[in-house]
Amino acid sequence: MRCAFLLPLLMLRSAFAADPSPEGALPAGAHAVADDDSDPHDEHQNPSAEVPKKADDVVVRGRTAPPSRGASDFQLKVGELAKVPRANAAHLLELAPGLFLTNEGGEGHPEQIYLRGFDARLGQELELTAGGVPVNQAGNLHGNGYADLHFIVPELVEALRVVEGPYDPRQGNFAVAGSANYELGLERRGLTAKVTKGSFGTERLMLSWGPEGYGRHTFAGGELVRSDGFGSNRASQRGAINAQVEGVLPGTGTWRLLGTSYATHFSSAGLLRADDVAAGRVDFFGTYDPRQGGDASRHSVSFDVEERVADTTYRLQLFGVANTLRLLENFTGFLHDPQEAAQSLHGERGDLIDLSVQSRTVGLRASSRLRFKFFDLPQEIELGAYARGDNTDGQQVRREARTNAPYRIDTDLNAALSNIALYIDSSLKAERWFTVRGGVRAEYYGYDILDRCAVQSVRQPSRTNPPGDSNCLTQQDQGRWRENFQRSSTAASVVLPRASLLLGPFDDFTFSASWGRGARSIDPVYVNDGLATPFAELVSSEIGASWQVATEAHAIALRMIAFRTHIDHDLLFDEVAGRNTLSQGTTRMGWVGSARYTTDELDLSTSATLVRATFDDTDLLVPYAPDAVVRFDGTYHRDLLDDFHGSALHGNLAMGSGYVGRRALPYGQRSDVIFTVDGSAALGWQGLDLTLSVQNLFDARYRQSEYVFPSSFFPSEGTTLVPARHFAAGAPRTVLLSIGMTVGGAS
Amino acid sequence: MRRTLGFATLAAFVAGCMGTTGGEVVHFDAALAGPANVVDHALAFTTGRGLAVRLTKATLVVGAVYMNRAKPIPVSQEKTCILTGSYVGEVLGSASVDLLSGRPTRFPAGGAGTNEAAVTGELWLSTNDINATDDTTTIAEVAGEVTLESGTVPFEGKVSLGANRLPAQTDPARPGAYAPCKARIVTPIPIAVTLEDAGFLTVRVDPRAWFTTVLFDDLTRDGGVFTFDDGNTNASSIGLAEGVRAAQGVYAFEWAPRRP
Repeated sequence: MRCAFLLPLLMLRSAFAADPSPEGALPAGAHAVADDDSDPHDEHQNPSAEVPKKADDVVVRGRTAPPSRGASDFQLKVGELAKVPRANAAHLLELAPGLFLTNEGGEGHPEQIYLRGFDARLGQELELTAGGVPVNQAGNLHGNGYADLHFIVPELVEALRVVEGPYDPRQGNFAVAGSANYELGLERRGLTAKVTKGSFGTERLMLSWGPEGYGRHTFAGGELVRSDGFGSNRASQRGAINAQVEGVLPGTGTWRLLGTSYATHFSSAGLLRADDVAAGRVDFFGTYDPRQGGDASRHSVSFDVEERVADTTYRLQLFGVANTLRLLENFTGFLHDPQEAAQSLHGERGDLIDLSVQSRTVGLRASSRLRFKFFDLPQEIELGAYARGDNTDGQQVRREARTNAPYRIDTDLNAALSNIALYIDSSLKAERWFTVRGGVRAEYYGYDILDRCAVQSVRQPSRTNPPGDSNCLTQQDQGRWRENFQRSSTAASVVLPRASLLLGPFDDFTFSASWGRGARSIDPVYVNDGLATPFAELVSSEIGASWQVATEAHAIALRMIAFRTHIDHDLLFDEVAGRNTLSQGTTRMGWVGSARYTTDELDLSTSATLVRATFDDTDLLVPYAPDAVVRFDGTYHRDLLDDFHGSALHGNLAMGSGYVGRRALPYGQRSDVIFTVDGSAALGWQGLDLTLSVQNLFDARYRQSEYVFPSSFFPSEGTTLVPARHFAAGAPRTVLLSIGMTVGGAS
Repeated sequence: MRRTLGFATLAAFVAGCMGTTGGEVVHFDAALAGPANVVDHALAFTTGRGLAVRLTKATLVVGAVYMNRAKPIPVSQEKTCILTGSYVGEVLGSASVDLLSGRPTRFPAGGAGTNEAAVTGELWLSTNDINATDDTTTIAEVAGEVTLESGTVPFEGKVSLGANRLPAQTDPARPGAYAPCKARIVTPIPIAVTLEDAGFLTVRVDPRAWFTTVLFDDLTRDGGVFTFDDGNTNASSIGLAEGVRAAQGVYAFEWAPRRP
C-alpha cells in the first residue's frame, strides 16, 4: 500500500483556520500548486481544502473541506490551544464562540451544551459528528439526540468545524443551534505514552502511535482514566480507543477506515437543593442518593472514500455505531409516586430513575461535487445524500429507596427510526467578491414505535382480575382485555432551503448574510399514528463581518455576527421525566464577537456571545440558557534553550477562562455567575513532555448547573412541594501532573 | 434582515441584564390562630343540630400548610394526595395552637412559595410521614360542656388520624383507593391568596364548626363525662373527626402583605 502525502496546500489563513504545519515533508523535488478553482480571496473559506494535484512525480492527496457558510462557520484548528487544560474532548467545543458546557450528571454523563441561547441539553440541539460519523443518538430515551463525546481521545483531535446556525445543506437532524464535527488526526509520529496523576485520585494512561512515513490521519490511540472524583459519589473510570488508517486509491483519492471504542462506569452526586446546603443538611459537594451514576459504551466503525475524477469529487462514507447507556438519576427525592387505586397501599418509595438504552445505527453519506468555470470564475455544485437507520430499545423504571428494587415501569419503547436526506449545494460567483452559497435539503423522517407499556392505569379495573401493582396493564376500562403494547408509526418530509451571501474581501473585510431552515426530529415518546409533523422546525438568519490580516509575523482575525433564530417547538427541562420535553415556540436574538491573534509564539483566542431568548406567546425569557458567555484561551510557547543537552528545551504556558452570566431561571430567578480560570505549564525536550495543569486555578466555589423545581428529599422533616433552587457543584481546584514520552518518530 | 440586525444589536445591549422568566419566589411568615372573638378562654355557641355548647379546650396540631394554584378535580383527587407541579406556597414545621387563647401561634420555619394566585388550601394534619399506615399522634383535643334536654354534661375528646380513620376495604380491585394520607389532609379549602415577599399568612381555625354534625347522645359516659372515642365507633366521634377534617367552614386563610 502506498502511503498518501497529505498536504494542506491551501493555507488560506482564514479567521480560525490557519494551519501552519504542513503534514509530513515533501520529498525533494516535489512541489505542489494550489488548485486554480479555489478562490484565494474567499476569506471565509475553510483552510483544509486539500486538492489532489500532480506536481512532477508526486501525487498530492487530501480531502476537500466544505466551503464556508460565512462568519458563523468556524474551522477551529486546535493546535497549541490543545495545551489549555480541559476535562475531556467535549470541552474543545468551547473554542467556538458562545459554546458553554456543564455536567450535572457525573464524569460519564455527557456534557450539557449551551449554544446561541439554546439549552441544547445533551446534544438535542447540536448535530455532532466525529470524522463524519454521527454522535447524536436518535431515539435515545434520555433525550432524542443524546450525544456523548467522551469516546474521543483529546490528543487525537486535530480540528473542529463548528457551524452556528443551520446554513449548510449538509447539516441534518439536530442542527438547531448548529453543528460540530471533530476531525481526528495525530501529528506526532512514533510511539507516545503519557501518564497523568493528580487530585482526587485521578490517574490517566494515554498511549498513541502514528507510523512514521504515514500521514497524520493514520494513527491509533487510547486512554484509560480513573478518578475518585471530588466530593461525594463522583468516582469514575473509562477507557477509549480511536484508530484510523488512511490509504490511497489507484487514482488520486484516499480511503479511511476509522474505529472507535469506549466504555465508562461512573457515580454521580446529582443535584442538591440550595436550601438544604444552606441549612447544613447536605454538603456543597455531597449527594442525596449515592445510587446515582451509570454506565455507557460506544463502538463504531466507519469506512469512507474520496476520489476526484476530472472536475468532480466523489465521496462515500458508510458507518455503523452501537451504543449502550444506563443512567440512574434522582432529581426529586420522594415526590412522584402517587398512590393508585389499583395498587396496594404504599408510601413514597423514591424517585430514582433507572434508565437503560441500547441503540444500533447504520448509515451512509454520499456526495459528488462538480467544479467548473463560468464567466471565468470558479463555480461549484454538489449533490449529496445522507441516510441512517436507528433501532433503539429504551426502558425507564423507578427504583425503591429502601430495597433498591424496581417498582414501576415509566417507559418501555422500541423505536425504529429512519432518516433519509438529499441535498443540493452550490457555490456560485458573479464576481470575485460576490459569492452565493446554498441550496436545499429535503429530509424524510420515519418512525415505527413499539410501546411495550402502553397502558399504565385503568380508572375502573376488573374486580375479578384486578391489575394489582403492575403498571403495564392488559386491561382497559371496565376490565376489558387488551394487550399491554401499542405500535405507532408515522412519517413526514420537510424541505429546508439554506443560503449564504458572501461579499468581499474589501481591504481585508468580508461580509456575509445567511438564512436557513432546519429541523429536529421529535422524541419517539411523542409519536402516535399519523402524527403529521414529527419534527420541530426552525428558521434562522444572521449577518456577519470579519476582518483578518495575515503576515509572516502574525495573523489577526476578528468576527462579529448578529443572528435571529425561531423554533416552533423548543425543549425544556422536566425534572419528573429527567430530561428535556417539548415546549412551545421560542425566538432567540443575539450577537457574537470573536478574535484570534496568532504568532509563532502566541495563540490567543477570545469570544463573547450575548443572547436574548424568549417565548413567542408571552415574551418571557426562556429559562436555563445563558445570555452572556465569554471565553478566553491562550498559549505562549517558545524554545527556552536552543541547546539543552543536544536538543532545544521547549516551554509552554496556557490559560483558559470562561465567564457565564447570570442565567435566567424559572420564577424570575437568576443563577450565580460562573467564572473559572484554568492554566498549565509544560516543558518539552526531545521526546519528553512534562505538564502541570490546574483546572479552576483560584478554587472558585461555583454552581455549574442550576434549576428551579419542586423536590422533597427529607420527607420525615416535611414534604417540600413548592419550586426550589437546585444545583450541581462545579469542580474545585484540580491539579494534574503529566509525563509523556515519544519514541520512534518525529513531531 | 434589517429587522434581524436591529433586534440583535438591541439584544446585545440588553442581554444579561434585562428580562425575566416571569413570576417571583417569595418568603413569608405564617401562624395558626383560633377565632378572633374568643372571650375568657372559652367559646359558647349553638351547633348545627341546635345544641348549646361551651368549649373550654380546643387545640390543633398542624404539620404543614400548602397552597395550590389549581382546584383538584374529582378524578385526580381520587388518585393522589399530592398534586405535583402546582403548589405555590408551603409552610413547613409543625405548630400546635390553642384555639381559645386568642393569640396566633407562629410556625417555626416560615413559608416559601411563588407569587401565583392560590385557589386551594391544604392542611396536613400530621407531624409524621403523611403516608404512614398508622399514626397515633393526637391532632385535635376538645373539652367543654353541652346542654342536652337532660341537662348540661361535660365532654372531652381526642382525635388522631391513623388507621382508626381508614374505611374498611371493600373492593379487592382497588386496595389503594383510600390512601392513609387522605385521612390527614384537609383539602380543598377554598382560598384566594396571592403570596408576596415578606407577607404574613394566618390560618384561622374555627373549632365551633367541628361540632356541626355531633349529637353527643351516642357517646360513652364515663363518670358523668361524655367521651369521644378516637375511632369510627359512634356517629358523634365520627362527626367530630369529620369536623376536624372538613374543608368548608372550619379553616380560613388570611393574607397580609406585611408582617405584623
